[in-house]
Amino acid sequence: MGETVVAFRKPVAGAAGQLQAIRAESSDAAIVTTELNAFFRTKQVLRSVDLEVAKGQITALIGPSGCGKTTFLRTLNKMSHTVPGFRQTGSVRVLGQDIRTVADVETFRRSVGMLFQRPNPFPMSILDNVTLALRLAGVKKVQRREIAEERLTQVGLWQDVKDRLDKSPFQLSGGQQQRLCLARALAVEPSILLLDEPASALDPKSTRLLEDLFVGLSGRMTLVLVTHNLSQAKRIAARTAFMEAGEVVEYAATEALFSDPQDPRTAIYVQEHSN
Amino acid sequence: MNARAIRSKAAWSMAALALAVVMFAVIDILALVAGKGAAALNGSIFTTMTTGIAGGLQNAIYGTFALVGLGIVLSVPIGVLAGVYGALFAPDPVAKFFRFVAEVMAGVPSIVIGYFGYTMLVVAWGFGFSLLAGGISLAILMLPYIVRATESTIRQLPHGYMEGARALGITPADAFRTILWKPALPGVLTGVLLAISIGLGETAPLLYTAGWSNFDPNWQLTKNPIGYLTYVVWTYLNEPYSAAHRLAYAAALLLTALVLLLHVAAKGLQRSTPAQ
Repeated sequence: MGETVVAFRKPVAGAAGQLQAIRAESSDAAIVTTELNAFFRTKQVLRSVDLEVAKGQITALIGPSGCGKTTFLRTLNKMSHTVPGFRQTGSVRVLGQDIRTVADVETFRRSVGMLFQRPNPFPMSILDNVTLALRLAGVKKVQRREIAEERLTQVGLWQDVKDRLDKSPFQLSGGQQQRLCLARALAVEPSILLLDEPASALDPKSTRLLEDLFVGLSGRMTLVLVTHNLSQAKRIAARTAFMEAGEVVEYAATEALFSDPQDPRTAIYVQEHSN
Repeated sequence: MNARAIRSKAAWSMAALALAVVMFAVIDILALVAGKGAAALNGSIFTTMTTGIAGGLQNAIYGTFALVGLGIVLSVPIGVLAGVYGALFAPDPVAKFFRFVAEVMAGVPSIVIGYFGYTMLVVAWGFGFSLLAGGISLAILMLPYIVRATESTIRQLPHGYMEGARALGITPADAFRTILWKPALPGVLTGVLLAISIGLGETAPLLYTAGWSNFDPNWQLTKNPIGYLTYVVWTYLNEPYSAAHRLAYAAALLLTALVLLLHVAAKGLQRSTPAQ
């Protein structure tokens, strides 16, 4: 009896994985990976990752540098696939679609937004940063302007920038730049937001501001957060996965993962990195 | 002073000496060209055509501008497009091969390009010694510099631009059109200016393809030889007449001044590159 449960929780065969994927989709998962392996040329960076990310929650990925968490994140919106030598086996289903069957990767990426480690505003005005993708999608100017104000207000930047919308974004502080990038990502209304250590270059106050925004966004969208900062995961993530050497070692409710880790590797990592 | 300090002093002195040797060579060349050239320079140089081994340089100045101008017109669009393709659109192995080809092309001795121009353009295609044959040869010479400048400028732009664009579902073509071209522009223009200065100073490919003419360019593309400044420097210094030498030094000074101007402009452009 006990063995059956174990087999269910960690499927080894492809068929079992398939079953799990189907189960998960009916249970409101935004992202389901099954037996996901990823390689850069001959180097394997992800090892049979089975992970379900629930809709409308913040899910955190933690683990030592080089454990594959960023590669995993960048595989979800097919950014990894742009790196020469990248190869994927196993399946990744995002919003019900296998990413290998995505024909129009640009449209796909509009539903899976991303925020990077370093704020990366484009070299154009603050307003154009937020509205560029809308303009390319054919949204009318008046409407673009409305959306920009809405998004900039949403990220708490409107009061700071409303008098210099036509100015360069590089005068803004790092935290403001990152919130501008968030507004830019939100402008195209993604269902999923991938966050690649989005606060690691920011001061504590800006970090908290950003975290509050993420919490506010969860519910309406699904957020996947890669972080080195364990207390950040504790503060805002509903579930947390601990990765090591390309594998998901443990995946549980954040509270449980930190207070009662089941795997000794998780226990050691959590203990060594919490203070 | 201990041994370490002595060794350090000795090494620094040698470095300073090496610098002095280089500086001396440059300054000596510039002083010679400026001194002799300035003495030969007068208004009639710009307003009269060459007659035999004397007269002015108007035909050569106009001819140089025409040849380099045609070279730019032919090489810049092709070079910039090729560079953009190599940096943004080419699959990795293609891009690598492409960079290799550009490097080889930049390394081909200019006399070989001249010989190619002669057999292919002048003789086989029947252009004769002409503006077209000379312009195409210069374009071939300038092309790899423009390709490489464009390609490496785009590659060196902050990765965040392209990443951010990708993550927003912006196609590479749109990303170039709306985001990347502007920060890339100063670098590309710098490459174009350097390519022009290389084209300006070339003699070998033109000897075989442009010929020489004592008359102003007549805007015929083929079958009409055309004059240019480097020919005057190359040929007239060998003549046993001081009038010919004066003309050669005047041409050398004009060329040096033009190249210097282009380099200063290129430096100015580099400085205007938006800081990140």
